[in-house]
Amino acid sequence: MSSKVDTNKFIPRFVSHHFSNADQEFESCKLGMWLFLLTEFMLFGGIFVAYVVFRTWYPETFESGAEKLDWKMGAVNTVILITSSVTMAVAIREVQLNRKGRALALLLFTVLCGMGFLVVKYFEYNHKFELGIFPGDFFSFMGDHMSNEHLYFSIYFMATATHVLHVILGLLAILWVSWRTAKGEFYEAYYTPVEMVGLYWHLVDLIWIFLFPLLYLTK
Amino acid sequence: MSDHHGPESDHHPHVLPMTMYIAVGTALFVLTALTVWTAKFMPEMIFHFTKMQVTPTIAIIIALIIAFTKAALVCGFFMHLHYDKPLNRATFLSGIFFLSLFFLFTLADTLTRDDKVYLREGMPESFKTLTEIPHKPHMVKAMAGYCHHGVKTDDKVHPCHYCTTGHEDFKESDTTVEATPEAKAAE
Repeated sequence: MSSKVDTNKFIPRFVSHHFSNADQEFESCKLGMWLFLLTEFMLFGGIFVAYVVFRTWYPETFESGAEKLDWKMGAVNTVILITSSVTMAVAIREVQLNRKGRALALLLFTVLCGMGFLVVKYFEYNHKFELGIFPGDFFSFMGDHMSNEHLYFSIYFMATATHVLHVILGLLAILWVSWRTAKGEFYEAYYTPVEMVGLYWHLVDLIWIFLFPLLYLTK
Repeated sequence: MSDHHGPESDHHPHVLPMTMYIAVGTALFVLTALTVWTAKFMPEMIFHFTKMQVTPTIAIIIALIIAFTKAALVCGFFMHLHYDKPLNRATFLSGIFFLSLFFLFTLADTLTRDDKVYLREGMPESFKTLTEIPHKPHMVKAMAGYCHHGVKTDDKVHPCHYCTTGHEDFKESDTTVEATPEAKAAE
């Protein structure tokens, strides 16, 4: 069997039988991924709509709630996520250039960044819980606050927890493609899973780009 | 893999220059610093020099402009939409379109509700003198027998617009206060 790829380094990939060529396979996967990302837009869209509705009704509540968040922690997390987005994008480029070692290193660095995000989030949540800041009926904060401030924190916890869930799933997906990259399954002619996981990870970054200023910086 | 009997994959990636990733990454970091600065430090500076306050509305507009710019950079370059097939771009834009419908129709309702409806019945005299009750119920203490939107709490069939679950959920102990002497006199 003659192969176009260096079989010592990579495992050659064959086009699935229901596609006529490799480009069609790649583009179909990409379109499917975009359709999935649209459902994610709608999921977070609901949370953002709730935010806008209640913010327009009770602006003072939202200002008072935002004051109780630590914007420095939010800013650190923003920098961490953007860094991870850059390394993820460059990792795909390295796979496209057949540089397996570099791609793997960048993917694992992306995972490290994502874990850093989760650690910062853990300290933030922990601090809130110690103060009795819980969503909805469980809100038992004793300091200065508006009478309906549980509303702000319901939205805060709903939005950030849904986002954290996406970070965790994204990390698992990146670990999965890292494993397959290490085995040599991805190279210039086939890297679809890395590209799709990359799109997902950028979505996670995209959501945070809006959550950070809206939740932390509006006061 | 080879039992699919398809041809060997011969996809040719469109490799983008490294300078693009560095430029977009740098722009994202700069915009993050900018949004923090405009929200946390700029208002004080403006107040120091011009004695003008940056209102929350203006602050949100600035924050959103920066956020949308960052989002456009991520979608366009990291998610490759700028270089992609028109079909993927159209898919993305259709999502944005339906998302804006979601916002538009929800806000068309919630921003245009007629506050005067709450002034119709059962409003204690002391409430009528306040000009901004129903929109900011959290700023007004409710009185015995009324929910904090000024609607009679014994009316369980027709909850007011804000008490969405109906008045049976109303916890009297949470929000009621002693009726003021003036209100008692009015009754």
